[in-house]
Amino acid sequence: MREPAANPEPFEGDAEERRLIDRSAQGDQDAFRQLVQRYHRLVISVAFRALGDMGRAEDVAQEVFLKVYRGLPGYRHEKPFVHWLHRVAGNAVTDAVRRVKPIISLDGLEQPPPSREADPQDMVARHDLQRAVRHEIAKLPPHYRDAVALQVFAELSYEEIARTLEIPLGTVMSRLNSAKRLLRDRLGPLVAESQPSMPPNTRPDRAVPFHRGQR
Amino acid sequence: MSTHGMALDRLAPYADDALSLEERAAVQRHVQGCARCMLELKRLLELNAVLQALAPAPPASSAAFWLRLRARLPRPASFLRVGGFRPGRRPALAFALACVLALTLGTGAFAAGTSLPDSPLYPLKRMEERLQLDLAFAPQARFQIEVQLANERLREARAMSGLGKTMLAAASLRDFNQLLSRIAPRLSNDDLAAFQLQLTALQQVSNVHRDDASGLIASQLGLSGEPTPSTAQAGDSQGLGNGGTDDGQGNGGVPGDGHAYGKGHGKGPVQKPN
Repeated sequence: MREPAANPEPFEGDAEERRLIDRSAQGDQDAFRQLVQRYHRLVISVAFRALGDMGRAEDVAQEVFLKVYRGLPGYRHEKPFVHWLHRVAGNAVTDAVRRVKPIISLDGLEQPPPSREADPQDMVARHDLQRAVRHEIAKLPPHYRDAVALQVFAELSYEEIARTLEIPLGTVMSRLNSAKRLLRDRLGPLVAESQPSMPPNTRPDRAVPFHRGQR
Repeated sequence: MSTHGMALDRLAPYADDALSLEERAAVQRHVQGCARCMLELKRLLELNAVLQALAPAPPASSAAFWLRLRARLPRPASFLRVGGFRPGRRPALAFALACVLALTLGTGAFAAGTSLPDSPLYPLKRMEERLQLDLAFAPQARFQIEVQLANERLREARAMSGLGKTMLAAASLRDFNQLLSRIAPRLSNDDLAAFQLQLTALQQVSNVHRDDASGLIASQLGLSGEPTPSTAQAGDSQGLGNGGTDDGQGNGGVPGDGHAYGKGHGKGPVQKPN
């Protein structure tokens, strides 16, 4: 009985991943374990940024991997696995945000994230704002929502979003532009109030790129 | 498209620094002379600041995550053959199993399956769990279910302590301790460490229960300093008993005949006790 190594295998590129995917599709749970090990952090991270709560993020990440496991037999390597995973995760997290909203807004069950902020009122206000932002993103029309979720929750660059959604880069730009202007309108004064330190003549050349580098 | 229209259509990519140099320069030239675009850009930068403030996820244990996920994966072919039990041969048990399935798949059961101790459905969930355990004849199947249940108790304790319901959290943690004392001898070091990690993440819960569990885990980890490869392999062929192929396969699970075999967890000797 040949046993796999207990430690995460080093990434060996597409061939190794392809093997894991094919074996997982045939029901090999140990191969799937290695896939999960490889991508668990990524999915949790997307879910946590979307939900702001580790318990719920893990629940949604579990759903994502269950969907992936069930979908693997139909996966044909026509596009990179990670793109598919990002789309499944993006849909699952925005669905989850829409699902949980009524509960948390009614009785405020969601716990504010731990923070060293001195002013608790400030913390609560920021927490409400983040909840509103997440919810507004989840409520966007689907083609806007997908692009924004990939940028904001999955932290993908414009090029990565284009490849993941299989649309031209120019389309990503237009969609994110329209989506974020819409988002900004819907959030209205909430956003401005949260930015008292923003200088009135913000210089465009000091714009901070949104994404945090390539993955 | 007019210069204004072009700039207005590229303000978000501009704010995200996603434009080519030429495009960037063109947008910048326009924005500096256009009050409306300047305002719109400022609004988008404000939005970006909010989006960037969304907190990144804290570190998460992949081992604990996998334990929970593994228990939920569909099992092709051998799904109904829990521990070598064949529905066709034992009609009475087949009927009982069908009833349980009907119960668990019927109304409300999904909600019960994930319900928390403060939910009215919680007693139903615990009842389902007991049925599940009673129907798992093979020690290996029981063990897997107990691992899953231990995870579930921890999840409940975490949720309850998050809500400030310390009594319920403590109750879940106490049940976790009972399960842990049964499964600990067969858990791999990875699994033990994963449980330990989750325990330390628990806040506001009775320290007594938490320390009990931590002590148990520590003693298990200590015991396994000298792995015993011979015992780990000896059990392999015995657990497959009744033609069931589900026990030893594919999931890194413990070879299944119920004896304590050190803590190879189906992986042979444990190399890294951490």
